[in-house]
Amino acid sequence: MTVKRPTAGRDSLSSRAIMKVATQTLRPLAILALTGAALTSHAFSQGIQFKEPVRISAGDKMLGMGRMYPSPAAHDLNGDGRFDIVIGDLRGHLTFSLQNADGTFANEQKLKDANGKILDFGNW
Amino acid sequence: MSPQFVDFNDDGHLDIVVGIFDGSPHVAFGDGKHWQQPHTILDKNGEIIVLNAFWNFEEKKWDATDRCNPESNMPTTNGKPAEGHLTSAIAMDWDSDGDFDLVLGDHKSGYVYLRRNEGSNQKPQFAAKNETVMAGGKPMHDAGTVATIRSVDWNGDGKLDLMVSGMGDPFGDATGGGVALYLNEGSSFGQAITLIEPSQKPKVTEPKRPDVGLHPEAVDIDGDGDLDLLVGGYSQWTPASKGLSETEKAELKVLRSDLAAIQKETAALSAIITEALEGLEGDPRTEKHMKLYNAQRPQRAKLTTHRQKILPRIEELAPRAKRVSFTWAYENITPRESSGQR
Repeated sequence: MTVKRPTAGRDSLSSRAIMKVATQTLRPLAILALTGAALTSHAFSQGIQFKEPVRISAGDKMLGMGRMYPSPAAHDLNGDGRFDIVIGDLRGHLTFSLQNADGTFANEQKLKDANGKILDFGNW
Repeated sequence: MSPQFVDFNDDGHLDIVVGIFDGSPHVAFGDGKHWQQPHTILDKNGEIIVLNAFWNFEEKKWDATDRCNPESNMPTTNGKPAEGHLTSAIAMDWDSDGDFDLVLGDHKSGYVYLRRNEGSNQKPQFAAKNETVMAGGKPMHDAGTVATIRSVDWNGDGKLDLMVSGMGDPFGDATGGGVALYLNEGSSFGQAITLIEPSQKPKVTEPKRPDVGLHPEAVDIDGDGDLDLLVGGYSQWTPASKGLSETEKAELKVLRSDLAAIQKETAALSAIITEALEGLEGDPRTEKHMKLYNAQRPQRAKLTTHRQKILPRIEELAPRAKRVSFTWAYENITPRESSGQR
């Protein structure tokens, strides 16, 4: 159970974090980057803290809104160095939302196979 | 269904591994540009990898088996073997032997299982039995039952940790879902560390967080070097209702009465069909059903139009409780020296 920690994307971390939270809508400038000084894990006892959560927009809609149990995965689909968000749902369908250069996310699109058919995991 | 992008067959291209509601793991193989339609991942005997409950494709019904109960550390519910229902699966090299094993989440009873790969990534040979995943000396368990599992090296020690999220009470007021982290301590996992507290579903007038069916993903959203969370799930809230004037109260009363009449009339139409179909089976039943339903279409359309007209006004005057799914971002603000991350 070992893993090599991923290194930063190609335009990694020239950019600093941006989280606009003012309108309960997140538009992050986001690059996968896992660097930094080593720390011990004893500090877990002090608790991991998160800000109040904010909903993520994708284009003019909320990401994953109305889907049955939306399940996001971060993955750079188009190889531009920015992670995009793929959403799976209970019905077995996948959509993706590409991350724009300004950190916003584009409208969701259905993930399709080479023949243009919707990738469909829902076979029951 | 939590998609995982991983090179499952070791061909240099990322595939998509998921566990879905039929109770088994699936994979869609990728060629670098597209993914093929998915297929079920089978064990070394050609059997579907399941927990106990699963969709029987041959008999077209939900089925159960105990052949997948673990041989040791069997989780129980009220003294009986837990009724496992797999809805999440991830590929992970559990035993560091160079191939992907499968870690399986149990939506029914809340446990986590392992299917060891005794072959290779090119020729997987998944064991015929599940093993119980342990944490802190006990079976890993989410009281809210498992919505999904994710592997992530949270503390940067080179070992994959597990995030386990909870479904929680899906519709009612009881405790909702949360997210727990289990650190990989080498030969076992430590006790649960809370990342997101299970929702207590406080009475709120707008969505505040995902309350039910949490599906997390760890990623550095804001580029500050630590892991944040993307979390899908349902939020529950009830919009604030405004004080109604006497006129509005009267209007609401009339609208609700109209709605009840529509529902009664719709039920009466359905009853006519039900009664007419009594004793019929197969094609004659289907044909009769279609004939009767088609005859009712104009009447049903009229009722639907009326309902669609009055429902928004009722909602405006007396908002109902909402349950809507979204995707949320949790920004990690743990001080660097306390984050446990490297």
